[in-house]
Amino acid sequence: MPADFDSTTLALLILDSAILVSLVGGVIASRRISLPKVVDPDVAFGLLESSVKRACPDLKDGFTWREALARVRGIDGSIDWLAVTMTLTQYEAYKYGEAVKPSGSFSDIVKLASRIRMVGGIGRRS
Amino acid sequence: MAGDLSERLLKGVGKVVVGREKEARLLLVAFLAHGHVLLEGVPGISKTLLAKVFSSCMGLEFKRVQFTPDMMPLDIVGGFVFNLKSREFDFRKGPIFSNILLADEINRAPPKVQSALLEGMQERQVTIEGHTELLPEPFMVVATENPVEFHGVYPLPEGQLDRFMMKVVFEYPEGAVETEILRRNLNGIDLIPVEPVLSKEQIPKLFRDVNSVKVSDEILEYLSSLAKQTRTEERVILGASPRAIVHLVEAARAFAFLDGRDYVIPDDIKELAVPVLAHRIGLEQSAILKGTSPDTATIIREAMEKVRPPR
Repeated sequence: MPADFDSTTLALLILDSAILVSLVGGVIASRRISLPKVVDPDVAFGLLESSVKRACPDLKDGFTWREALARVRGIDGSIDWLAVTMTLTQYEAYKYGEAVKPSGSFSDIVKLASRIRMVGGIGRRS
Repeated sequence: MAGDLSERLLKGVGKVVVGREKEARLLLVAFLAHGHVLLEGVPGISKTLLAKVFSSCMGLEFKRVQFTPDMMPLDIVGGFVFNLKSREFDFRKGPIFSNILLADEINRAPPKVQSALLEGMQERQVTIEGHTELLPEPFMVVATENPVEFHGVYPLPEGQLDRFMMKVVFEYPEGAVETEILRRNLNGIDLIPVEPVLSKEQIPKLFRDVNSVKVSDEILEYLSSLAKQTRTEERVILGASPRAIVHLVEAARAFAFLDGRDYVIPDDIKELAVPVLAHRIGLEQSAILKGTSPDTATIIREAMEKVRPPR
């Protein structure tokens, strides 16, 4: 009997572990999926603007993109700032310099917007 | 070439003048935007030296006029002098006929003399007794004034101030910078000649490149809103003029060019708004006397906080 008990316990343990692993995997996957796919830069930067305004309520309406990025630069998280800066430069060239509308997923901007929302209130940097 | 020019100029200026990079860059911006600059600061903080070194770096002809209360307009623009040989009146050009005219302590000369500069600054020509002479190209007035003198000075009228694209305020240098100034003076470094960073022939192309920098309609609307905001401020009796906004957009073009862009972004406007607009803002006298009014730079900063730039 003890041998049977052991094998049953072992089987249950394996089953539990499998469920736990699948649950954790599911949570991670759902988090990844929760980032919306945005193909329009105006929409991506619109998301960023609403996130910045929510996280920095003291930021006056006259802020520019560069000022906003300087403000949120201190947040932790795996933000690729070089990619964000390059995307912003392309967006500025389109917005103010008659360049072609940039295409792509704008995942860096959406990820940053999402990260700012998660972090919440961001104070002034000294 | 644009960013490179800025770096070379700052390097050249830095050989003689210490800790004035921001001011030197603003001078370059104004120069590329065909503007004139008013340098304000107490005596002995490198205003004149910076103007001299700047013109040497740009390889341009430079003339300095020390403004005094007994000056006449002819001392600036020149005039007709009787030629004994030819028995005719010849036009003798005044110091305004140079590429960079340093009008040192401009507020010490009477208004008549100050206004002698007006036509030259605006029209880039002078007219004397019906005779019109074009000024050399490029032409820039760099004037200095001391803000703490009250006796024997003639404050520049609003119309004259409006003709200056920028007013650059010189603060006292920080401790480390001051130590370096002392060290350099002891070694005579402020007397070394400076090599030009570009030739005179390259300048027209620079102007063309700056003129080709794009300004979107949204940026123009932003500028217009900013000007309107300065005019609606309670404590302000004189807001930013249309000429002020024209100067701001021209300066922003030059600033964008030096940053290596062929388009203006809102940050360019915000960077230059205080030096370009603040000196043209007139505050309510009662608020100034009561001490309840902030300075004009603060008014401009507040306006920029309220007006939403295109995003």
